[in-house]
Amino acid sequence: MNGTFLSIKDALPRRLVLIFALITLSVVLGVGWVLYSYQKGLLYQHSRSTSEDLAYALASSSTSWVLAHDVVGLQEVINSASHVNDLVFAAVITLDGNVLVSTRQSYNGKMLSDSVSRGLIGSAAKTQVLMDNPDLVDLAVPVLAKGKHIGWVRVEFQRDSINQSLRRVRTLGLIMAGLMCLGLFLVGRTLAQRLMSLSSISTAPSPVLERVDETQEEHGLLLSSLTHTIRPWLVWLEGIGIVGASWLVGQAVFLDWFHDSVGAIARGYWLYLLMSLGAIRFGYRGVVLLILLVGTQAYIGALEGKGFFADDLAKTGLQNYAFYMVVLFVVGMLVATFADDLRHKLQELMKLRNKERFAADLLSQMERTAHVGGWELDLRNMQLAWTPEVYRIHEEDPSHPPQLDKAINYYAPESRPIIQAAVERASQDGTPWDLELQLITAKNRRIWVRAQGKGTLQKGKVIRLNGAFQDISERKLFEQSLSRAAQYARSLLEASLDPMLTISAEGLITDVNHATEIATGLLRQQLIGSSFAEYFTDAERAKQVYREVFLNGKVVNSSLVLRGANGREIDVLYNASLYRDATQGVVGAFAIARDVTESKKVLKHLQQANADLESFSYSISHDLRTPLRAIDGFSRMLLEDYGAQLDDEGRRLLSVVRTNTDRMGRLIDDILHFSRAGRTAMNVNNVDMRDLVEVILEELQSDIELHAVKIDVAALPVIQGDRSLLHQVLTNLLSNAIKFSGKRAEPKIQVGCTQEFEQNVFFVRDNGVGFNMKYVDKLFGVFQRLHGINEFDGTGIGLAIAKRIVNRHGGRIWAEAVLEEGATFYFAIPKIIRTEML
Amino acid sequence: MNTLNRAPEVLLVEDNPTDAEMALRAFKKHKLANNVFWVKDGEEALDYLFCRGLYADRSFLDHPRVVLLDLRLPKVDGMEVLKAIRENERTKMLPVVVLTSSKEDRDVVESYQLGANSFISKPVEFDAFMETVAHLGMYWVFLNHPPTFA
Repeated sequence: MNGTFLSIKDALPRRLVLIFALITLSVVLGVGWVLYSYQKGLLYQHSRSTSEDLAYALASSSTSWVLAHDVVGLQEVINSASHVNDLVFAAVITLDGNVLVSTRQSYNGKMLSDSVSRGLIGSAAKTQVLMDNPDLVDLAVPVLAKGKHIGWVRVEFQRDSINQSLRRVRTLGLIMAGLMCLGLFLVGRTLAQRLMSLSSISTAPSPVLERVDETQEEHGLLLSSLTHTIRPWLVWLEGIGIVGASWLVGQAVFLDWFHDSVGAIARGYWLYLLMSLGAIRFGYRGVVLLILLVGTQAYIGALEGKGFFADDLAKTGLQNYAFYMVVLFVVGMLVATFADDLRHKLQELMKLRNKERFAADLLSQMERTAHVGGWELDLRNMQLAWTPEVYRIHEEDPSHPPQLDKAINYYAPESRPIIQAAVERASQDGTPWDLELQLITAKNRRIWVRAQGKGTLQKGKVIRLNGAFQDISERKLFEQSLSRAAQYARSLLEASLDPMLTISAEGLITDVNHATEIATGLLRQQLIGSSFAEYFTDAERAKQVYREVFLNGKVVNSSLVLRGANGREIDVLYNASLYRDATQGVVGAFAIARDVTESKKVLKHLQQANADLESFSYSISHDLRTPLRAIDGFSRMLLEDYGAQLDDEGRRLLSVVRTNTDRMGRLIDDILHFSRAGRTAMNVNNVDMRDLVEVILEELQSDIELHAVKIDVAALPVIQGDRSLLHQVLTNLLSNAIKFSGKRAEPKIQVGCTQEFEQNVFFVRDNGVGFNMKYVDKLFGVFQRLHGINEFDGTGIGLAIAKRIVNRHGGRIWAEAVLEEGATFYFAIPKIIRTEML
Repeated sequence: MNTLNRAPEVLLVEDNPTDAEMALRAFKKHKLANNVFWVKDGEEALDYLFCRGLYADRSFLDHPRVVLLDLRLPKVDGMEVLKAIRENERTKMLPVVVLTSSKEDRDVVESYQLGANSFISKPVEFDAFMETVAHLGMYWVFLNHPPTFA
């Protein structure tokens, strides 16, 4: 905006036009005078009198005066001339003095032998004035036919009536000149107005956003340059109008009434107009075409005395016509140049206007999409203007132009003073504002808007306020939901009892939760920005751990000791992972330090309990066995030393004592085995299971042979595990299988393995007595037996031990069976053994 | 139980009298009883071996061919006795057989670490016990060739 371009009005002030017109007028008058003198000189050359003009004037004052080409035509001419008032005499005379036709019937067919006809012979094509009577004008006009002088027209007038004719002609000439002048002015004006209306598109008040302002400014500059180019042409146009008018006026005023001011000249000027139209419409080609046409016509007219220009030619001669055509051509070319240029400029202007319309459409679409509108307040007349979107935001009908106070009142009561203050301040010094305010629309809806504005200064005074206006309700709503989400996430973090923090790539703490404050005894603001490692007893290790996060993306269960409040040391398990922004760029590490002090305490208790259990089982192994041996030993000694004195019953009783001591010994052994299976440190190595099974089968060889058991061992993998513990498992399962299938006719045992994704599942299948699946839960309990002691030997510890060992490998043991048909024992050992057992 | 004319060839360190009686019965069965000297705790065992206290008049030269050592003993336990034996220049090469009720691995390992020559777990079953002790006696008294002491 800021008035960067000029309107035509601005470019051509009325005063300037007037001055210019006056100057042009005086110049034209001067030129007109010179031309007139020149023409007059030409006339004097062949007539030495201005009376010739009068003849022309006479010709045009008659109803249908045309110079005829033959006798019949001439007769008509004379006949019509006879009706002219004040005509004294008119006749057509051949070169040799024969009167062909005359107003006086008596002259017809006679030879004139007076000085007139005689004197005229030999001076062809020259109008002559014969001055034999002072009251009359006696005129001899040459008659041309096909370019040949064939005779004369002799006319006599009353001198007074000629003067009257001249006055009439002058008045008529003035009126016609005025009309032409007016016409030319109108054409010029219309063009000027058209131009102005084109350029005025941009001067109309259009309150738009600043960025649109820039586009307009650009367009404005273009327009400005355009009007600068067009202006001289406009001046030209107006000048031509003035020149044309002045020419006519000059002709009418200065020319003697004998000159053909109306007939030929009027025709000539119409030809100028025709030429101008042709030039405007068809350009140079039009001009050339017209000149060719006119030239042909003129040439034919000159040769044959025919055509549109023939009579003019008859009067003025060919060389005058050539001059006339040169002028016509020059004018035509000038107009064509001007028209071409003007057309070009207009096209550019139209293009610009289309561009502007496109920009306006785009703006309107943008407005609608972005919910951004523009407004402008002209402080000089307090006119407020809104773009359509502003109306839409207000939910107001665009047919209601906004008033300033009404516009302010759309704001919610709490927002009103803020916007008022901003507008007032901007009105003073142009201070811009950018506010987020609440608005109550015409439909009584409460929305959020962003109101921006600034003042435009002119000569140190704010003359205009304008700015953007945006509906930001959606954004506000989104922001609110976002802040709620953030609040929710934050609350979760703060609710955690584990210290949580974020660390930058430099190892500085960027955020902490409340639990971190409690753990360290420091405030949030003290923690943030400090080095992460300094809160751990082993700072070096802490550094190493956080580096590992940035290196590997995460750290799982790394043990660290946090130096807590009051010097308390807190055992923590440190877990961390990287967190990234939307573009996957690493922002920092998110870390959780789980307080495992309690777990460690429990672990310690557990270890203590284990140690107690160990010493207990040690005592059992030592202390219980000794008296047992004594009972057994001494009952044997009794039997040996005094057996003879005992009867059978005495000896049987002693053997019951011994059987039970034996059984108790085995129970004690089993308890120790069981305890040892859970306690001894695991020694994980590669174990060839096939090899292991074969070793065990060798150990069990005597039992196998005893029961004639057929054993089928499939290919078994090499796995990770503790060989001696797995030895125990397989021994237990295989000896069970032998034991429970031993009573079958064809005892059969199958050992195999199925490989699964993460584990190997081994099985030992027999066709023995099986068991009822109802008791499957009891199978792996300590000292649980599903068969009577008389049926099958055993303490019921074997499977409990097997289960314990499998569990220690991180595996699982289970069984399937059908009573009296057989049982299958499965145990699964993971392919990778995790050795964080107690 | 002991003879004056001849130094005992087996020193039995056993606090449990019933175990000791059974052991002696086994030795007796194989005519070895006369060569066995029985002490009831670790201190007495060390006094005997180092010729001090009650046994101050003993000569180092009259060392036994083997010491059968129980681990769980009053006063000074079996491991300490073994350690003391191995630390003493005069007795460090003395064959020591650990004879105990324990089957604990750690006892086995510790015994060997301290320089035990053998580790025997006492069988609970009478026959097996008798046989084991008899074998022990036969082996260490008759078969084994002990080092010569300075």
